[in-house]
Amino acid sequence: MNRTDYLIIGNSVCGVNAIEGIREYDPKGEILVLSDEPFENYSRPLISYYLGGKISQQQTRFRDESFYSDMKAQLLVNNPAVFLDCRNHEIKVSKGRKIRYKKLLIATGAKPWIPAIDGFANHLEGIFTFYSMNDAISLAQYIQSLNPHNCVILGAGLIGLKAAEGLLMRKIPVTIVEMADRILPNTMDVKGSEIFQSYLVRHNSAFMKNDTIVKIESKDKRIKRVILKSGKKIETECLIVAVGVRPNTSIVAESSILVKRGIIVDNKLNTSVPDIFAAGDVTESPDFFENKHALIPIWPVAAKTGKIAGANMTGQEISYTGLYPMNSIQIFGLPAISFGITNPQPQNFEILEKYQPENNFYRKCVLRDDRIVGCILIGNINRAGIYNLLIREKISVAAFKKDLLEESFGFLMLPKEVRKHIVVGESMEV
Amino acid sequence: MVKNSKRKTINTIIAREEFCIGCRLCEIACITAHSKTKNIIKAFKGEYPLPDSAIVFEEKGHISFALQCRHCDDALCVECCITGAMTKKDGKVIYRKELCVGCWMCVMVCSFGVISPDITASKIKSKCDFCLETGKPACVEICPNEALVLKEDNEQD
Repeated sequence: MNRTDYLIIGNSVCGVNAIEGIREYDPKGEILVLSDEPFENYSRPLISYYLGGKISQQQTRFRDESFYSDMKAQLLVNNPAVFLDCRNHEIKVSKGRKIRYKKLLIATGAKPWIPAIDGFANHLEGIFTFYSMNDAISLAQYIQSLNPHNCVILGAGLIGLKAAEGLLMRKIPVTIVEMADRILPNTMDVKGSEIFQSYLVRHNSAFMKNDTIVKIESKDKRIKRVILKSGKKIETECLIVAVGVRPNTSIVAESSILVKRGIIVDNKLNTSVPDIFAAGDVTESPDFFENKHALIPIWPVAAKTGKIAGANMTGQEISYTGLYPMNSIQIFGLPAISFGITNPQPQNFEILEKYQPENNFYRKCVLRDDRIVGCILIGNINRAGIYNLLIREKISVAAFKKDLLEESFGFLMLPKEVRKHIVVGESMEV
Repeated sequence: MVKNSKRKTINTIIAREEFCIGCRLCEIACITAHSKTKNIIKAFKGEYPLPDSAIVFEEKGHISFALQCRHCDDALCVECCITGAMTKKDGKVIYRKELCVGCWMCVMVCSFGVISPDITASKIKSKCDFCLETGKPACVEICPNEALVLKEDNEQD
């Protein structure tokens, strides 16, 4: 039986930030991290850069090589947690080995969701998800050895489009099949989707919207063709399923921990069971705008909640105030950033927007009661973080509404008192 | 407002717009301090490309001020960096260009909007390093009217 003060299941951005959160307050307690993957440290969003050949596998790290030793944290790779015994504070890993913890963090993240498709089978060659380093490595190897003439991607969300970019950089044309009537349906509004679509079409991608794959046909255990709901057929030897992710809650399935779609946590990142915390993509955490819980599987939430959970495992009482979706995406040199509610029913919101197609400039602010609750910036993303600040601090924009969409938007457009409060900080005299 | 529960930072650069005369010498000093020769004439006459200034200068009518990285305690840019390019070292936020892939997460979360993207290069244009080499921020040193001042030992808990 091994014992540890802090046990963290999951070694991605959330687990790593939890290590740092613990060490900020407890320099000595033993930290043990379990990972079901073979790699010491890699950044999930970097797998598309790896696929595109922009960086090596080694460069997918997001912490230095000395990180775990500097942090005095022990990492066990290839060690999935298989059973949680809350009552005895124990986790069973493979081969019947048990680890006893004082405090546990479940940071198991998400897993790709694969819809039921006729003809789909795990052993079929040429079907991939695009979530882990292993996914990216097998996809890259497959492409290198087979050199497929095209690739079909199911799902035009951020993951699907970043996979598309990676493939296009390897000169493989892609066809993207999306069930919704537009691409990036969760991140962008209609205009934003159009801008990205026309941009991607110019870079050799085709889109099939309002459509999905209903059947996969194979030959010699390799995918050969996909058949769409519309009846269209696409010959392909490569399919990437990127329709979204679901919280990876399997470790708590047989426990008494409260789970809905994700593990439910309070604003201190406690689960419903004492001494067990959860953070990141696996959780439903407090929402920023509404009094409810939400699934927001993005890096900033995983990092923030991981760090707070780590601190609270040491006995701190730091509150997580909730975040909203935010994404930064750059495809073929076109940058875009979005925050919060980007595509609301217009009746309850005030919408400001400016579009200049000739220079790919689009900016939109969604307001409720003179506060920004959502924002899209395409083309020019300079100073995007100021919008994030205005949303987070719920600052009234009534006095400078007309300036919000200016390319040169900055603190000078804010009333002097607000500006000085933000820039100088209330605790500092001038 | 934008501050953290634990403020450990010693030395913060403060912008005082009432005193800023809009001369933009801070930008010249920043560029010179990060040039190869560190000499204003040699740098501006002989170095190509010159580094970008790490200062965001705002000016409208007779109001102006210069902003640079606040080196936040719980820096969101560090938290959100997907490569580890933004990192905390001795209380300062340091940017390691070679690790950056241009994902713009830091641009997305920097509350002060002082991280400027170079879209073509997929790198950050320039990031204030608090003039770690000399220990004295060049922009503060050169400011003729104390519109940029160093506030020291601001330790509170």
